[in-house]
Amino acid sequence: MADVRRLAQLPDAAFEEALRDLGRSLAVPAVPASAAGLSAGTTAIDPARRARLRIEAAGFGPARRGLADRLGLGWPKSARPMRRGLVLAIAAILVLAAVAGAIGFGLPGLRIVFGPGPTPTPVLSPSIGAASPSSSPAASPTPTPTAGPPGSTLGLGRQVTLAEATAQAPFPVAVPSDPTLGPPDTVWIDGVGRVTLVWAAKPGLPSTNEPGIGLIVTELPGRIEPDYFQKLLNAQTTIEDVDVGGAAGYWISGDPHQFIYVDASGQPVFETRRLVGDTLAWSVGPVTYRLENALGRDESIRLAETIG
Amino acid sequence: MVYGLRLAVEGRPLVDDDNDLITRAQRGEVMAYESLVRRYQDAAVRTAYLIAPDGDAEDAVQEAFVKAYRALGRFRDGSPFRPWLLRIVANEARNRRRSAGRRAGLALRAAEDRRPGDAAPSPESAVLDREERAWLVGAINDLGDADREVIAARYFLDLNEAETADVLGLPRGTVKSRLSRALGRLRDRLSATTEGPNRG
Repeated sequence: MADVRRLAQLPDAAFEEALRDLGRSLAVPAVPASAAGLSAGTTAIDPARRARLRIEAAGFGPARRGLADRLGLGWPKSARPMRRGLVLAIAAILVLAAVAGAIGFGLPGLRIVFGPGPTPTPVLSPSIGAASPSSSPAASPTPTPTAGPPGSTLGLGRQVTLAEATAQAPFPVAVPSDPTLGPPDTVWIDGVGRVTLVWAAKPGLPSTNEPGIGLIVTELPGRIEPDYFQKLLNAQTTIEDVDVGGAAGYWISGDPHQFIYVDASGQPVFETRRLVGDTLAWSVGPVTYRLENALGRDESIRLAETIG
Repeated sequence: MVYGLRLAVEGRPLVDDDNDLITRAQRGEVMAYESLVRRYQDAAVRTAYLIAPDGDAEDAVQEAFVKAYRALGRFRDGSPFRPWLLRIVANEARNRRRSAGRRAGLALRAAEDRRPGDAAPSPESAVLDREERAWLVGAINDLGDADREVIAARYFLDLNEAETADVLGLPRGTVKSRLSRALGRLRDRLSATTEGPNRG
């Protein structure tokens, strides 16, 4: 055994050099690093901060999964990419959220909307409010949707026809066949091939947190990784395993939450748009479906089972 | 790409280069701030690991980058960015250590040996063998917070005295004397050592 007490006797310069030598050998993970692992215990996300911000993605394009990389928080694709991906994506979200909050305008490809929790879109002007009298009782100051087709404020990508979406999406676009629902009022596709179908609120289809919007069906090229989004939920959000036509699904209700899925290359992708209502999510093969509405769990599952 | 970034953070980037990025970030160019994050994240993580309790370092870094962005408007033009940022990181890491309670386990530990074939060092050699590194880490971990931080800043983060003062929030004249006392206490512990190293 070495006599470590020799260290105490080293001349000053050598002692200092020994400390520098020690510093170079310390087990501090460099970022990016391939040697030292990160603790999984660091993935907590501050729900308060998350609730303050609503970041909406508008056609991120192929660079979508480079969110973490663009913020310099990426690692080489080496061991344990999933967990690291999650840690880093959260880091990226935190930085992005904070950056967005401080700046007050949209990043390229991002549109940011502020508001604590489910704050509805404010009325832009009295004339707009007066022009859409049908949506709320006169005595209530319930905000009315801003001008534009349903979903146009959500950053869902380009508005297209259903036929165009079917032609352009990297998977077959499916529409609920429920006769009372009818065809979607608007259809959107974004740069990563996400297709969004939007129905305006109407009798029998109550408004979500987003005024005027009754139902949003999102179809994503990717699959759900339940471990991921479970970690992102805060205490006021609950998640329940459900069966959607034989597929494993998840009913996420309560507070607004963020959604994460895994793209075809295995990279976690954050849905940066804050979801507007309770959510039913399930995957069929390589496609993930998501329903947001205010209809409740059972009606959501029933609607979901008409998609095909 | 990733390795190119790594080179940029290993070296000390020019202050002029930082200032350009800072000015642009202050004007709202998010990409400029991202470049600063990329450039200093290694140093930030290292700083946090030297101060924060085990498992909290990453959080501290994230929070520090967020706070630094918000505080960018108060950054003094022309002053070095690295110690300014690391001070924010150090504060975040300290806050976490305080809330984790006294003497929460530190992340600081010696790496698994990366130098095969250690020969027994000569008595005056500054090159440590594996066992000595483990002892030294144990002894540093046993020091008080103030002693450990000043040693870590000077030798593990390779900050000069002025930078150490900035990062640790000390008056500049205090660093030298505090470091001297910390080194003295560290030597005392080493010479009093009779048991095996604390490997954490």
